Amino acid sequence: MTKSDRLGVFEQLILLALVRLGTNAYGMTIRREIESRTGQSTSLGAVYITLDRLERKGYVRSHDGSPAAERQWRARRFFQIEPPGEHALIQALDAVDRMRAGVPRAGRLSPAPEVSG
Amino acid sequence: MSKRRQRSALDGFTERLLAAAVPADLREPFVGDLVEEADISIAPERGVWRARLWLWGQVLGSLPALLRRRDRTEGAMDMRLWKLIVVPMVLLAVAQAWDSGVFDASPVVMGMVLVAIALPVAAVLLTARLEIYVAALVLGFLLLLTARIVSPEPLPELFLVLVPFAVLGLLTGLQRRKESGQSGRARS
Repeated sequence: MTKSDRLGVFEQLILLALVRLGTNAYGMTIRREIESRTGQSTSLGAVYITLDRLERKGYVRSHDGSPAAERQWRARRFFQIEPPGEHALIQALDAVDRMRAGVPRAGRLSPAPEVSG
Repeated sequence: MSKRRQRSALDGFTERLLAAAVPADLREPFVGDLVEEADISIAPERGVWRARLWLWGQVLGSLPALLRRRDRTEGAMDMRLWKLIVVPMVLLAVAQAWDSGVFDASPVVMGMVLVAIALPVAAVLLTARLEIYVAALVLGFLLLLTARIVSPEPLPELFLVLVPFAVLGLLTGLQRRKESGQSGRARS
């Protein structure tokens, strides 16, 4: 795996959002999914730039929907994860899982003090 | 339409700003998403002004990344060609400066000429935009002109220093014009 194949944290979040949203994954829903699940405010621009990068890597593909009245007749662009994207995501998540194995959950990272007596 | 536009969080100014800043291929889905979330999700619950504030926050938060992406994909110079010829061009410019007697002139004159050479190089490396490159060339030319005026030495053929850079700018401009003509014909 080359350095450019490795996924950044935000790329992983985007790909996970695509998996969760299925056929309803477009800019707005992806942004809201990430924001509501991680609690981090996310700009729509960052979502689109990352999706664009993932698409150029062949990890996602997109297609335009029909123009919608509630969007002042602008079309939605739907995104879907591709097999290379799934593969890269699984590898990234597996790596995190392996690193986490045996480490206590956040907030309790330092070893618990020994209780005597 | 006008009633809908009046109630929309997307005002005309923001729309024009987005049209200028967002790369053409992302413009429709990006602006559509902003409008949909602001008008459908935020405005009914919190009012149009809160929706406008949210939309402006999104626009300001998104602009840096979008502008970087637009600069990479639209109006960028051909960096492959640039990387191939930048070193010979700089060497040629320095050799011409040497030939013009710049290195025997005062440090101020020498500094002005070196900055004039560095400006177009820095413009391409930092932005890769032809407009900025042309502006840097013009600034470089003015620096050479000033150097020529303030230098007590004659500095013959000093302006030849920038000729290779100007030729590259001209070739890039011609290529751009050809490409825009082709894409215009393809659209029509």
